[in-house]
Amino acid sequence: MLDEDILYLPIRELQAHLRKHSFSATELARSYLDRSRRIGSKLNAYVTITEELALEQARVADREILAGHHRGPLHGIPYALKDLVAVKGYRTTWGARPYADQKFEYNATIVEKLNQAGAVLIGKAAMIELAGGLGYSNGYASLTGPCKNPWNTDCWTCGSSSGSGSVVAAALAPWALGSDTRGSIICPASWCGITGMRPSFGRVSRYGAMAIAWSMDKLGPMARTADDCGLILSVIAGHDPKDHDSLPSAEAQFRYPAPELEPRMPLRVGRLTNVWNKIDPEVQKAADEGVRVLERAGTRVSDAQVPDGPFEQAAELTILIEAASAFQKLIDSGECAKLTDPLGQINGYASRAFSASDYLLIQRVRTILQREIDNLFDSFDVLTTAGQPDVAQPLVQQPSKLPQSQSEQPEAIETRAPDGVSSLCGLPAIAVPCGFCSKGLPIAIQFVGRAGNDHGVMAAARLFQRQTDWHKKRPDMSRIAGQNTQVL
Amino acid sequence: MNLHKHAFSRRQLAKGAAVAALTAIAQPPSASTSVSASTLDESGLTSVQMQEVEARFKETLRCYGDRLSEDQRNRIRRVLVDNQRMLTAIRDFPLDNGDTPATTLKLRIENPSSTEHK
Repeated sequence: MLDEDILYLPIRELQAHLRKHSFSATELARSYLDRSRRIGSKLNAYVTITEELALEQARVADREILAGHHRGPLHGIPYALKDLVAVKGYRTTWGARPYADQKFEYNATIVEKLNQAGAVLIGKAAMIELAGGLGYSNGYASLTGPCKNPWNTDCWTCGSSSGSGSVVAAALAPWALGSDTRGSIICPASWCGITGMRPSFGRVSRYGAMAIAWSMDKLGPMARTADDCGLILSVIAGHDPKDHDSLPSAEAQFRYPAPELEPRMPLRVGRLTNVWNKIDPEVQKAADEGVRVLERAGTRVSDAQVPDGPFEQAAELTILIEAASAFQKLIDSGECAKLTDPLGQINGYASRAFSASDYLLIQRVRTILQREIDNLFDSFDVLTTAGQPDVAQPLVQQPSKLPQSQSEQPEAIETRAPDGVSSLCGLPAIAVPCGFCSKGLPIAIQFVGRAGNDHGVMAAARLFQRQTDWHKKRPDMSRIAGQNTQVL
Repeated sequence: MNLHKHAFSRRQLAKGAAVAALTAIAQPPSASTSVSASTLDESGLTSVQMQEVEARFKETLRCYGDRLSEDQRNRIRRVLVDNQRMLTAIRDFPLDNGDTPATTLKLRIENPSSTEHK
């Protein structure tokens, strides 16, 4: 088996090793498979390990690479796929009990693209049930149990791409696909100390992926570096007529590297000053230092503010209403009672009470909010703030029933939380590690760009990672694996 | 989706997020916000808004009530209150007649080569 130092290498370096024949794609796949079996089960990181498929794909890659036929940056590179994406012949559970035995007889478009690129599917990563589409209360809301954070297994990975975050942080695969409707890539990437990118809405086809909210769902890479995310996105992006919201070909494709498409230096960075109601001081400090790193690297930083408006409400309501439609059969049949989470069991009923008029009104407000956010990017190439306002939180025991009567006092809503703002408006974003709290848990900084400017956020993240080595830090896996790995 | 500790409805706990006063949310003036604050009950809704909640609650029970325990019914009612608060923020937002919704209709239907799976 290959050494852990190898398994934590970014894709670009793994690819170089494969081309130099330092090791084979099969050796690489076997090493990740072995690690996935040994460690993955302790983290509840996987739903299914696709060993047979992985070894077959790796053997094919080896034959082709030996023959000098290189398919591109992901050729022979293992990956994991969030279990909401259809892979022909394998279970696609959507992380939920009612779909525990679901199989599709076709591949999602993204799987077809990855197959054509010669990538090697190691397994299907665990996730929050229905990606949280009908609501959930905590990390236990998953078919496979709570996904544990490799940095501290008493903590959660965040959701809903919980397994994808854990897989990458623990080097069970060099990258994993996540999905993001409202923060489901950015949050697990932030909490797991990895790099996660949410592409612009419509850039990556969702055909064959479970829908939560059609007008907000995105698929995107979770990997070790921004450069890795660029390589992956160059493979998975592109127009797909099977996805109604797919961008036209010229806008959907993502050429990488493509310096001519990146913003001219100095990069104009807007430091968001009004997006969190409350932020952990240690997180704020690390994010502030991250901004100073960018300033020292020659970017032009000034303060920016998200305009007032019901961003969060519009995002939340859009998801509630679209999810109630997407899961209409589950709700009407009463099968939602089989969901793990008490909130998920009933939330769909409440969401069915919205009217068409409600939905249209929200969507009319949305266009104006979109325009207002877009105006911000006349002055900035990217906006930046912490990846999340906090670090990984302890796993909370699953409640056996719904909480007892609560006050009807209104609780505050973070109207300008970056996840809600950018998800509602289809903006690309990337989260990269920028430090650790005193408990040793990762902290992230994120960059958000104008819709379609995925190159902008990529450029900012790459610049940041050229100046720092936070993305090279690794959790001590010896505690989890029970093996003699070195603390790094 | 990720979730925040004190956020409401779909996103319940799990994540330590912030809590601050709802009144801090800046809203443009409109007819519904012009209702006197004294008409707000502890839920932060006016009596008219609460009537709408109750109507939705009754309709939900009419459709699904036989499946729900008392706990679940109470929870649904609270979710409906939360949803109403969010709707209020949306309804307060000033719109003109020509403000179109962010819904799309593509007039040119592409015909993918293999649609047999869908």
